[in-house]
Order: sequence, then structure tokens, then C-alpha cells
Amino acid sequence: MATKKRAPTRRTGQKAKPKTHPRSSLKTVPNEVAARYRDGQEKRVCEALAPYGKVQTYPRQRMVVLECAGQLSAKVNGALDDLQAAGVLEFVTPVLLDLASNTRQVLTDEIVLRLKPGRTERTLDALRSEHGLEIGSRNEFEPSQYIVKVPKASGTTTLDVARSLDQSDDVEFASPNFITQVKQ
Amino acid sequence: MPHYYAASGATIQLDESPDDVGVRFGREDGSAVAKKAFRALAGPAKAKSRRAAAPPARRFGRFMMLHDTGASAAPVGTVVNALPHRLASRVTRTMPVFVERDSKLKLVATEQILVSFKPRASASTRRKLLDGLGLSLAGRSEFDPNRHIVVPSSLRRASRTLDLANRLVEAEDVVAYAAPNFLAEVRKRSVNDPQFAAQWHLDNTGQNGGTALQDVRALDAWQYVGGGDRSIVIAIIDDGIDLNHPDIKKNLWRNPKPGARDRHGRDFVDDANPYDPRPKVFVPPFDDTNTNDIHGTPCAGVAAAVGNNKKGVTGIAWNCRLMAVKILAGSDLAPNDRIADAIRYASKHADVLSCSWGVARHPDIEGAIAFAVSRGRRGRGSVVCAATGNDRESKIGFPSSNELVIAVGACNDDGVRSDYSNFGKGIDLVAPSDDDGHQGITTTDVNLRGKGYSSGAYCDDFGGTSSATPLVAGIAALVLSANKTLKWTAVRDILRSSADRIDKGHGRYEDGYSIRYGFGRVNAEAAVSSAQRRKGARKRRAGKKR
Repeated sequence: MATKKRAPTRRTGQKAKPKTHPRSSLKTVPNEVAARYRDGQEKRVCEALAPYGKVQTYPRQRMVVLECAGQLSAKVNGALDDLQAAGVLEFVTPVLLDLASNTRQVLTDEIVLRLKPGRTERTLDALRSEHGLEIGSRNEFEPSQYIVKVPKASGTTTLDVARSLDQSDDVEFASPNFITQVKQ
Repeated sequence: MPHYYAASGATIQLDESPDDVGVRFGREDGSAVAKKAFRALAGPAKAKSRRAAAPPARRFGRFMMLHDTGASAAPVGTVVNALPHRLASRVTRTMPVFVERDSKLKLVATEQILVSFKPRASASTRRKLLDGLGLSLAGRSEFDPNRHIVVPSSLRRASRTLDLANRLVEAEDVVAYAAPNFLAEVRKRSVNDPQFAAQWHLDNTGQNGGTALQDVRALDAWQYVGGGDRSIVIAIIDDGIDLNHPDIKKNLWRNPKPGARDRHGRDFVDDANPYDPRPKVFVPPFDDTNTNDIHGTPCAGVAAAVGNNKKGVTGIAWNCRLMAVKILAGSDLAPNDRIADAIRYASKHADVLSCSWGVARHPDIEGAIAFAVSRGRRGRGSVVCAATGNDRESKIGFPSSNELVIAVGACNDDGVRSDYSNFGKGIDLVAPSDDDGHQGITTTDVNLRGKGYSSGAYCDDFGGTSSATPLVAGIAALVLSANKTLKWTAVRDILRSSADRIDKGHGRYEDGYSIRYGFGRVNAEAAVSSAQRRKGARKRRAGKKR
């Protein structure tokens, strides 16, 4: 498990207390990439990426995962850039491997954020403006928990923002809402 | 000659069995002598077998019941002929055996009579009644001060205890009830499901090459609680349950809230149809778990397929309810927040959660488990069971590694850890499942033509820690059926402490714990009886406080 560095929070300048929950170690899967397509664009994305490897679609998440034979080539990155420029894709993210469980984790634009007890929506609003977030849904069972979205989620931005949020004194935890591989 | 005794105002009709006789050995070493006699008659093989048809001898403590043609006509001769002389000479009494007309169960009439006096009956009235019938007190109940054991001062024939008991009943002002303290035959409750004989994990008779008795002792557990209590709910958090399956439908949880849309559970994948948690996605090949919704239905069957319905199979908790909570649909990917919310939702309605899957550790899922054990069952905590994984690794996966979860590994029909079953620090228990070269688990399959692990409504090759987990979940449901007041930690403690330490030679148990087997193989009978004992102890404590 990777240890977390203590960093000053941006809001208060005070040193954050170390969180009790451990971090998972993640590694980028070198031959896979994920992307979220816009409504109705599944076929176009599949056709554009099929020449480069095996394409798996997850329609309920509007996600596509491309698995290449070798490392991702410049041609693959170029095709993805073209699709993004054409407005077909919302974002492109890496597929990560959780080393502890040996399961694939697809990074999305969502973060699960739980505020510490006693924090109000004003706190959430401050975090939103500080990190440039969009506030998604409030959890049905845990009123202090939210799904927040990172507007420009390409690359590892979501992971970086989640780590930054997790350091805040106002936050119980913040973790990317991975689409996770479930081993049955 | 017809005989009878009274129970709750009804007359229980008895016939004396012509071919059975009861035997009592001397008080001092009677139990040991009876054991020797039993072995001499039954032989070690039959003594071991649960299924010996018409055993010649059955034993309880220093009592034995012998079966022999015309036994009752010459009881002493029967005993002397049946037993070696050195043992026969230790017989102190022979007793008639009666057959109850309705149930056909056998009852050995001992000289003891159970009598419960009415609380208002004074000590002198009680004594006068007993003296008049030539009876004397031999003991008092630990739990009911008015209930006594009485014996005749002299007894020429043990069937006289019936007459004496009936005479006591006639003293209505003094006696609440009186009946002989029969040594009663107990018929183990089995089920009539046609494929039960293949369900070795519930009753391993050595069928198909397995080792007899390497099972979870389901038949014995059912003696206590039957198939469990209807109010106990097991949530199967997976890829859905076939809601129309003929061996599942009757046991589906029904939301008691009027007008609730989540009638049988929830689908946390399909936002368009979140109240229909059945398998929905099927892609060829139709037996591929990763691309088809076929995994939850067999899990549900292991836990609580309808039992005793003359159909297919039975679950271990065949009278408990099943809730379908869907987190997967046609793929092996699911968002963390949906998995976490599925756990939270399940714990709002279910007593036991069964998770036959593993994922990467995530704080939201950890939070959901903490939610389940702290808020489920109105604060007593839902019991969360999870599979250790099938990766042949010496570490267990998440969520089974969470300390609030009961981590379940797998063992085979010989009582040895399944080769694939992950083990390591944190494993709690193992439960029977498949293994390389061993029998699989017979359970329900999605009942859609050509889809699932088999072509029909049942499969016989389910397995993995996926199968072991709902078996433990079902046993947890039986434990709660026996004692609903238990906190989740108490259920976990009972399951751990009552487990069988199997494979002691290779299990490397230290202080009762093995890194390979945890606390051992789950034992349903021992767990349920332990739960009932706790209930009794609690009642006694409450009585003393009053």
C-alpha cells in the first residue's frame, strides 16, 4: 500500500491529519484505454477503434474499453484525439490495475465524496468552487455523501482531484468512483 | 392391547410393538456397558452410518432399544440371546416399546413419569396424591419448579407407568399434565425434493465417491428449526435471481410496505428499470459467467431454494426468504458507488447478505459494510458473508478481508480445502463446494431454455467460493431463525466456535484457528443448537432478575 504524504490543505493552510483508510496501489494497464462516448455514438466509436484491437462496450456506463495486442501506439492515441475533437467522446481515461486484488479499474469522471460529520452544503459548495467540480447526486442512504464530477476528466485528472479532495479536513474520504472489475 | 396417554386434552393412542423391547443397564456403569452392547449388536460400520435401515439396536445413555422378531413376547430371552452373556447379565430392566398410531414413532416406556403440578396446589396436596398412587419424587425440572419426575415405589411391569400417569391426569385440581417420560424415537426431518440425494453438501452419505459425513449437518440442524423462519431474509447481491424459478419463487422476499415498487429487491445497474432485479443479459456462449446474468440464481438456490416441495433441490435455509439485489449485468464491471449502495439497500431489509464476488478495496464499499453491520436489523447488524476468492492465492480478497465480514472459503466432498480456494489471514470458515476431480454443487439454474450452466432449471456443477458463501449465509439465517435477538457479532462467534476443525493433519490449527480453514468447516447443527442454548440462557437470566 502506498503511504500518503501529509500536505497543507488549500483552504486552511493547516496540515491535514492522516486519514485512517489505506490507499490501494494502482498501475496503468499499458495496452488498454477507456473512453466515454456520447449518446448514440457507440457504433461510430467501435468502428473507429476496431482496427487497433479488441473493443468491449459497456452500454450502461456509455464506456468503451480498447485492448491492444501491445502498448498503445501513436495511431491509437491519434484516433482517440480525433473522436474527442469531433465531440464523439466525452473523455479518455486509462485502465488501471489494482495490485492488491489484481482487478482492473476504469477511471471515470466521478468521485465518491463523503463530508465529515457536521459539515454543511456550504462546505460542499466551497470544495466545488475550489476544485472546479460539478455536484452530482446525494447518496440515498448516507446524507453526507455525494457523487461529484470532474468536468475535464481525461487522463488521470479524476484520480488527482480525488487525492486532493481526500486531503481536506472537511472530507471523510474522496475516492474515484471506478467502474471496477468484479470477480465472480 | 390398546394403550393411551393424555396430552393437552387429547388422547394419544399407542400399540405395543411385538418386535421391540427396551433395555436398561445398571446405574453405575450403564452408559459404558450399553455402548459396548450397542457396538456388539450394530457393529462399527452400522454404528457410523446414518442410514442403516431398521437397526437392530439403538442406544441413549444407559438405555437401548432392541429390534427382534417377537421381542416383546419374551423380553428377557431376547436380550440374553442378542447380547453377549457378560453384557446381558448387566441388564437391570426390560421395558415395553409402544408405537404411536398417528406418527408410527416408537416410544420406550421407562418407569419415570413427568408430572406438572398446578401452581396453586399445595405441597401437602401434591404429596398426598403421590403417596396414594405409590409414587415418589425423583427429580425436579431446572426450568419449571412445578414440573417433577416421579417414579413408582415398586413396579412389576413398566407399562403400568401409563396407567399411573393417566391416574395422575384425573386429579385435575392438582395436576396440569402427566405423561410417561418415554425414551422417544426422533425421526430426522428430511426433505422430499427429488434431487436432494445429489446435494452432498447438505447430507454427504458417500455418494459418488465422496466421504460420508463431510457435510454441514443440515439434517441435524433442521431438527431444531426446520428450514428456518419465514421472517428471516437473505439478500443475494449478484447478477440477479430468476424470479420465476419454480424452486425459488415461493421464497422470494416481498416488500411489506404497501405500494412499494421494489417488490422483491432492486437492480442497481439498470436505471431504466431499477425494480426488476432478475437476470437480463444473455450473450453466447450462454454459460459464460462474465457475459451472462447466470451467477446469482445458483447462489440463491444454495441459500434458500424452496425445500420439501417435491421439486428439484433444497436450500439450506429452505423456509427463509430471498431478496434479489443486482449489481452486475452482462459484464464483470460495476461502479463502486452502485455496489456500495446495493449493500446499504440490502441491509435495510435483509438479515443476512451474501456476496459471492470480490472487488478492489474501496472506501465507499467499506463504508457500506460498516452501515450494514451497524444499522441493519434495527441496530443488531446484518450478517455479511463474502467469498475469499478462487485465485489459488494465500491471501483473501476484498470484501471478505474486511473485519466486519465473515470470510468464506471452500472445501470439497472429502473434507479438504478446495485447491482454488484463497486462504490466509482473515479467513473465518470454509464450506462445502466443488474441487478438481470432486463433485460439484447441485442447485438452481436460470430457468430459461439453453441459458445458464445447464440446459434446464437445475445444474450439478456449481462451485467455487461463490457456492460456499451462500451456504454459510443460509446457515447464518438458520442461526437467526433459532434466536432472532443475536447481534451480528454473536452470529459470527457462534459460526466460528461451532465449526468442525477438518483436515487436522494438514490444517495447521493453532489455538483452534487455521490459516487455511479459519475456524473450520461450518457446522449448521452445532451452530443452531448453540444459538438456541443462548436463547435459553438469556431467558433463565431474565427469569432470575424477575
